[in-house]
Amino acid sequence: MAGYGSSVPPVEAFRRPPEETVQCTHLDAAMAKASCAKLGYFHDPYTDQLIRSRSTHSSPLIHRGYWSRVEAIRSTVLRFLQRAPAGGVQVVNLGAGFDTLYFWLREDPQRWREDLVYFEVDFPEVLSKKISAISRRQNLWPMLDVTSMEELTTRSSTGLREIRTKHCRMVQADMRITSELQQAMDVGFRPDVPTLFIAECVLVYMQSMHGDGIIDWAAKATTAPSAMVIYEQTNPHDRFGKVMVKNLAERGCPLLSVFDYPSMEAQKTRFLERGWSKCSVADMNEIYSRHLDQSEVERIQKLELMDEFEEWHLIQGHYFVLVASKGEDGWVQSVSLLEKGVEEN
Amino acid sequence: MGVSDLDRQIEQLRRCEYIKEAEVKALCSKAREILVEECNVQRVDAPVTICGDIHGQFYDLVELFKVGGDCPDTNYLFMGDFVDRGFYSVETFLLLLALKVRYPDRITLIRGNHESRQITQVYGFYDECLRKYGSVNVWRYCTEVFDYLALAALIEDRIFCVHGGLSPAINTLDDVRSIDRKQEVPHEGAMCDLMWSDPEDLEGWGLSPRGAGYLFGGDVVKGFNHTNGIDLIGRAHQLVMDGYKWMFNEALVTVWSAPNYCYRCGNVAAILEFDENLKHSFRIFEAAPADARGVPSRKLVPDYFL
Repeated sequence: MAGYGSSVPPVEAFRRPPEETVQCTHLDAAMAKASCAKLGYFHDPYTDQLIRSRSTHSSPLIHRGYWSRVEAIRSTVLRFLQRAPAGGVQVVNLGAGFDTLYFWLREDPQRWREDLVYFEVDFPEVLSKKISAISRRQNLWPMLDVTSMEELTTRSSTGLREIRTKHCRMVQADMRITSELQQAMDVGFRPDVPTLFIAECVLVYMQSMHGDGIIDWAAKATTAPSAMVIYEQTNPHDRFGKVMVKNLAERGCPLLSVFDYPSMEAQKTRFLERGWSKCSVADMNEIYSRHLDQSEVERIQKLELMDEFEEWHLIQGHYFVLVASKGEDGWVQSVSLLEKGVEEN
Repeated sequence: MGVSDLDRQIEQLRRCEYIKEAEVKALCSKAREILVEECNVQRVDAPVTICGDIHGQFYDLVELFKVGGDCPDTNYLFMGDFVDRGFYSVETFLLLLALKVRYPDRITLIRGNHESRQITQVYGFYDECLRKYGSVNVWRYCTEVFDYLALAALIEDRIFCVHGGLSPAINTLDDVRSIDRKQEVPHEGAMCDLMWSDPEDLEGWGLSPRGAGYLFGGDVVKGFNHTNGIDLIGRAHQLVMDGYKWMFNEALVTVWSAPNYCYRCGNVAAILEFDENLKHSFRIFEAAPADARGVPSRKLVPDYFL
């Protein structure tokens, strides 16, 4: 997903992140996901269409890791959509990059809800590329309820092309500035319906104050029961973590807030102190072995010979999924990823 | 191929410069002549220094030689997995092979599960050969050599060394000796298990999560060592963060010689020295400093989930 590489506040001095940094993460993620789809890890014919079929050669470990992340997010989204009562529901994918979750939901009536409005927010540099790609792929337009370019794109107040169709709103904002984010959502976002916020590898690339602002904003953005799911890196202090921090910094996408929130426990507290009332968290080893559909795990383990076990456990131990919710309703509290007895507050 | 040619090639490879395709062909052909004479369980005399996985981390192999001494001054036993994962599998394997041809009695190479046609097509060596030579000929010459590598080594009749571990199809060293090894690593059976199995804290045998080989417990090791009159099994195959790891009351030791494995794991590496009385000592080393390894291109930065 997108990386937000600036180094110090105030925000105004670096309103735009370096182009190549943003690209480096969302394109890499998209290429790896396309590679997974090609090998049959998960169904996603869309990513490949958006990135113009660049060839990649990812290792089995990378495929398996992306698969587990996509499955964890998809299953959380499905639980939310299946449990939220009828009468309107929203998903807000923050820093969506080239993510294709919207299309995955839309393609199957079992997953889709007619009362769903799906929002994606990202930097203009990323969004314009994604919209160009969708513009070229007319086969995707019916899924966006449009038949022409005029219907597909709308100019924002700043003159940028956005997508504002019946069920899908792809808008641009520098999310580090909460007022800009709030304004970007002024394309039909309803504060009175249950909303799931997603931030996959997004907050960790920001200064913690900016991530804090987003977490706080999301908690206040609705009056209805809502949830937020994040997936990102953690544990920067052990030996693997130190190398990870260094390598990603050298790659141009430093983990700007990983030292302020260096553990899953710290992340949990972060959410509970910013308007979220329940929060559960688990690292990706735990998610993989206890929370994902084990018949699917068995299936994908047969797709490629993997000889990277020690490393697999190391890297998966440095990523986590956190699901936070607010509201007293049982259904929203049950959206927690970790229904099988992992500690909760 | 004369000694002076060989010495020049070794010098070139030590600088991490790869040699010409025709030279690789000749080197591999010579290596096969030497290796075909070796037993499945190659006998090795002490003193000897045993090393675990290298995985194409050429500059870290240079560190290893700095710490352990140069070949032929030091007698080496490398327990496989020379190629794949790292950026310099070609240079790494060819340097070890050239040393083997030049000093056949001072360096022993046994086969790891990555010395395989199938695995090298997934984990990098095949692509690297293609990238560096523009054809797969070098990969083909090298994989032909792989089929000739010994399966195990026996130090002074007391220490059994193998890449992965034990097999339910093997009770005695003679069982290993009777394998017809000159073939691609099979998907199952004794030869496969020797390269794929892992020790585990369990009783007897278990299924391996790797999909090949087995997990074997302390009782299995005890039985094997007793049956064959050996004190210790030395093996590699698994990353251990401290470079080595004892198991089962020092009846088995894992040695890992690729520091900061895949440029990502943050581990230290080790080699294990046995003196003439088989007294052991570990030497620990870290990854070569960045300025010693050149700057890999952006494309070669290790992968994460982004």
